[in-house]
Amino acid sequence: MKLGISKVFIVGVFCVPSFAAPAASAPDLSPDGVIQAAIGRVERAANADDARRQMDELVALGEREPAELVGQLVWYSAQHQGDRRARAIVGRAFSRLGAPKDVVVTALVTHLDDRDAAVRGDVRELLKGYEDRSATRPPDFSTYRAIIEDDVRHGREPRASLVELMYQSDAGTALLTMVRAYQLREPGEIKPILWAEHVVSDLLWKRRYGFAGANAVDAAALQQVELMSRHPRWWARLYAAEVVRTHPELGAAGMVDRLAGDGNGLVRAAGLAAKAKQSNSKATQ
Amino acid sequence: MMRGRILLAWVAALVVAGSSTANGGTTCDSCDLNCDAVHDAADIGPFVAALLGGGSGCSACAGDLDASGGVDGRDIQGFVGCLLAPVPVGACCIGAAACALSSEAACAGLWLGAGAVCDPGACAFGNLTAYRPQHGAGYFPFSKTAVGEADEEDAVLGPGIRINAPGDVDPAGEDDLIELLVETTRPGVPIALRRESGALRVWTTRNKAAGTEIAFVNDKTTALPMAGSSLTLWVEWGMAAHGTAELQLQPLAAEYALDTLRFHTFHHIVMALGGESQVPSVPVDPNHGTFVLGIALYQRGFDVHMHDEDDVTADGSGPVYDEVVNAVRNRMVDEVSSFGYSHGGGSTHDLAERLDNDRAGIGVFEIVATSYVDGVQNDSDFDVDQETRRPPSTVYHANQYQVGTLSDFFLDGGPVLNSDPPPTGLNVETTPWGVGATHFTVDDFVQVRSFVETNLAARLTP
Repeated sequence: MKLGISKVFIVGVFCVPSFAAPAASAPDLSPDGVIQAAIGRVERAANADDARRQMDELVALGEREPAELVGQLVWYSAQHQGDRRARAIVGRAFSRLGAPKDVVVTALVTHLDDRDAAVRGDVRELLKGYEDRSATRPPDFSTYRAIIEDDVRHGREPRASLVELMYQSDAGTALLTMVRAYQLREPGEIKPILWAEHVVSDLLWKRRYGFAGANAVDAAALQQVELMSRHPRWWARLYAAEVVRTHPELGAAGMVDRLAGDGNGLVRAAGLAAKAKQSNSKATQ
Repeated sequence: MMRGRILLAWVAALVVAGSSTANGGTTCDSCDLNCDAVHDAADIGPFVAALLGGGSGCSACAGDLDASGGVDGRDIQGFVGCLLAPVPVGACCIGAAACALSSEAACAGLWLGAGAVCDPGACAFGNLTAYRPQHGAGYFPFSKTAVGEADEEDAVLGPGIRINAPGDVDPAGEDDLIELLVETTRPGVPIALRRESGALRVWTTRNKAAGTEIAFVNDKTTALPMAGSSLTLWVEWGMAAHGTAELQLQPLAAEYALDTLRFHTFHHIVMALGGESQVPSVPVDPNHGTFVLGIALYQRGFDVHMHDEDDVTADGSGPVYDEVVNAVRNRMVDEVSSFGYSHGGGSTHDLAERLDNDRAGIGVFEIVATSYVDGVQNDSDFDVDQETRRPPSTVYHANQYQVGTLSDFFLDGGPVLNSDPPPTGLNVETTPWGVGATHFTVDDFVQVRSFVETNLAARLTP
């Protein structure tokens, strides 16, 4: 069976109108007096019992509006960079939140584009904790998928920072997440993407478990990366760019140049990073 | 007797102006009748005695100047000539601590030159200094550390060296060669290296630049290209097999050791992972107990690599994992050890989990020893869960922790099954010295560090 991108499908994709609006961002974080005062009372608790009581009161503030408390905890954390005790307070508060994981993750994601770099960094770090990955488990992007799916259904562009976070975290899982989030229905469109991810993942699996050399390359994987790099869906091209960024040996120079000049900003950025990585890789050989 | 005295007088008369040094001309000096390495009037008596058949001679050839096999009248002229011909005498080294005055020709070792005297240490004029392993482009996060003089030939404490077989990956450039400083107090005397094994290769450049390898012929070099009194070289273990081998500094003209190093290949790799916000530095922050401990092990000769705990991601991948895999695959390392404090403990778990999971693709190794100090899981910088999972497949695990309080906002490690001290590790607050420990201070207790150091060091093959 030859899996490729059908002409019919390509025409269909390019006929889809581009999204009109980007995903909604929360305003840049600013302190809320009530919640920050509550965090301050936790910080200054007189003893262990008082600390627990103050923490209970802080967490209770988030029962009705967890997103607000999440944002304020992040703001507090961003103001206390390098303060290990402050991080412990924030970490403990997050672990005590009664809100479901998807609510907390959704609240965090809205701050991925905050003007304050410290906020953005802490949000990314907190999100990592909710991905629940391990050596034996891939990351859980289920909440990310729901967020992107909602954007897609409402005709909004997905949040670029979230997509970037996902792809940098695990490009293969991110690609499959995007297939679902974008609600693809045509098997003829889905299969080539699934196949590409499968072939590349298979090579990486073989490398990891010793069925192929540490830097082994096979023609099938190269072909699939090449196919994805020419895919009309920008998030498929982003997959190709991320794969080559992390595995420079899987990208031909011409392909990397093309990705580095892609019309989509995320693809272009990843392509440029891949190009730099390839150059470094060649320089050290 | 009278005849002897006449002969003595006659011979003495032939020696103008009394005595002078003379040269026997062979390693058995026929002119040196009393074997004092000098040709002078003191040789006349024994010569006459030999001539008269009254002496057995101090050496097989004593008095036999014409090498006829015996002492007779035909030797007299030669003996007189010998005494009259001035031949220089100087210190002759046959060992670093073995010196005697002799002529150059009579010297079976290194002759230091006319007039050179056997001062204490005259023959021990060269020194080798090996350093502990490099990391990347230099020594960071360690200071350049010389192997102690007393440890240079020790199979455990001596210079360890990484196998640098083809295929080894050095992401930051070649760093598996050991720096070697060669020094001499006699720059005019050519010196050379002698190796015990062809596995040891020596370069004048740290990155093995083409044309900079020093050639060995029959395992000895020609004269080293000294730049004055010192020279920096780089030693490589270029064979894909473990072993030990000596490298000696020798005079080019003699076969004795001015200094000796015994290299041993590293079987192990040790990963030290700091706590949150702790990054390795030079000089080390004294409040970063993990790195203080890492440096102590490095100075003892272990191949320690120190990292920010964020170099291990939640799935165990990252630069630390890559370094271990490279060591096993390409440097024949078969023993892995890791220890960490706080989130570094969590990362120690995550690293071990991935290494154990990926064994089929890595090679044969054992996670010999691990340690947590107040281990906290490390799914993110904000993770506050105790790390109470034993690192998968570790042979030995040490666990020390304290109980969190308000001051550290209840951050703490906890008991880990099957840990040392048994059964679940040590709550340091139950000890006299650990009372009042907090999460932020527990890694700095010397007792905590010593426990880890002693137990890890005891379990690793040097």
